[in-house]
Amino acid sequence: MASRLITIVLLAVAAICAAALVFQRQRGSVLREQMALLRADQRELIALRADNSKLQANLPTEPELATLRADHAAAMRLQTELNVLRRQISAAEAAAGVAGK
Amino acid sequence: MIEDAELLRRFASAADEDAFRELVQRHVSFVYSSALRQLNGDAHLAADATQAVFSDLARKARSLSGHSVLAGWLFTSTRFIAAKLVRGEQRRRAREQEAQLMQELSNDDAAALDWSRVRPVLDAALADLKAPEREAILLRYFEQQEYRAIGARLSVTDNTARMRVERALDTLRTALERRGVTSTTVALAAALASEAAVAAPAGLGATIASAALAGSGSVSLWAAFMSMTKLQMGIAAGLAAAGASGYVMETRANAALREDVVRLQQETAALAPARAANRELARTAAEVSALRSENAAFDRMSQETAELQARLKIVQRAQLAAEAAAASRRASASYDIAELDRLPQVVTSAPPKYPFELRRAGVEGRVTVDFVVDSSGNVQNAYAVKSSRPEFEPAAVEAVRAWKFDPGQKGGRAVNTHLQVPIVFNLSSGSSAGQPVPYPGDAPKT
Repeated sequence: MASRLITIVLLAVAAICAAALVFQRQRGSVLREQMALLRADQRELIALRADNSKLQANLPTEPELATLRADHAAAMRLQTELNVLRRQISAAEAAAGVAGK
Repeated sequence: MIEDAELLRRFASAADEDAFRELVQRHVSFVYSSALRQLNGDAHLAADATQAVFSDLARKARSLSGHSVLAGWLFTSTRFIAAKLVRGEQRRRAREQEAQLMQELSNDDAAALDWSRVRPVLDAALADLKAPEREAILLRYFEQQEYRAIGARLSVTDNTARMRVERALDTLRTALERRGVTSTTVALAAALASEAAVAAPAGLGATIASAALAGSGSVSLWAAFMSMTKLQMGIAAGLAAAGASGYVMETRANAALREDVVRLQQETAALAPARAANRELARTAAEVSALRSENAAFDRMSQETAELQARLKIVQRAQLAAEAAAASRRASASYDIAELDRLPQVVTSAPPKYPFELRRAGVEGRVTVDFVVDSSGNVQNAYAVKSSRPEFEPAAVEAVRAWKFDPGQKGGRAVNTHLQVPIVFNLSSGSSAGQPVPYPGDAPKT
């Protein structure tokens, strides 16, 4: 009777320890998954910082960028003027052809 | 009736005191009588020896629970304990008595079997027997079992049990003869039947059982614990230790993991801002790249614009010339001034506008405009015949077109008149128009 009680107590202790161990293993598994995701984010952060440094180095200064934008606006106006000139030339050529007949 | 082995197992596994008491009751007389015999009738020593035997039985109950015949062990234990108690004195007295009796008995072959002579040497003679023969004697004469019960205990038939008992008696008789006690098998059997088993004093069984149980009860738990097989304890303890150590190790590992997780979370907090910055920088870089590629075409477009502007002027001039030629053909009925009865008179003649860029550039020029004044006094088919700078021509032609005339007349009616007029662009005096002159015909343009 007493020996059975002792055996049962020891087995109960072992069962409790096993259950606790399983619980800790599950927690550990969750933590390891979280670590894997965080390490992936860390690698992405390192790559982004390197890419940002590279982009920043190749960008023009603010005055240079303003000049580029101003030149672009002038180019747009010039393009519009070109289109108008082409239409005018076409119309004038057509009128000259009609008038010559 | 419950077997001795079962009672012993109940006591050993469940500490069944009633089972032990039953065992004591069954065998106390046998053990007491055996001890009494071995202690030469000393009742006190016999009671002590009997108690010691059953105390041993209580302690060794688990290991003895496999014995089918307990009487054998009881007998052996009783014998050893009795010998231990009075070893020196008893052995000396027994040897003296043996010697004396052996001398007396050797002279009297026909003497009846005197139990007092047999009693001192009986247990020694029994010890000389083999175990099966001894158990047969003990069961028949000391526990007073019937042959049927003996056969059941030994797992043989009744006749076999009877024959085993008779052979054992014969062997015992021979052993007694070697110790100086001669008798017949029948006389020996009769003596054993009447004298072998002696009832223990009343209450001795209960006293011994209580004493044995009391001696072992206080440490029953400890005894049970100690009696657990080492293997069971080892396995249970090993499982508990393995579980505990594994839990501790896993807890420590998880604590380290949590620290790493917190550290990485702090480090990667800058990830979202880095992504936003990267998107902004990429957008700006793309914009800059597009601007630079578009601006690279600016020079080309500028050149193309200048070319188109020049071409437009040429085309416009051609257009005007074609229109003028057509007008000239249509106005073939127009008259020169010399042919008119009355010349056309200027009604309104606004000066042409000096082109802003040419004035700013400080450029002067002259344009000759050819036109027809129709019968209504309006200017038709105005165009630049020649000019010092083509840039002045549109302004000059536009100004002449706006002029109004009183039409020339021939034969009393208004007619078309072909004219030309010089337009001068002068910085100091502004633009001005000269007098209209007759159309000179196909005058070359300058």
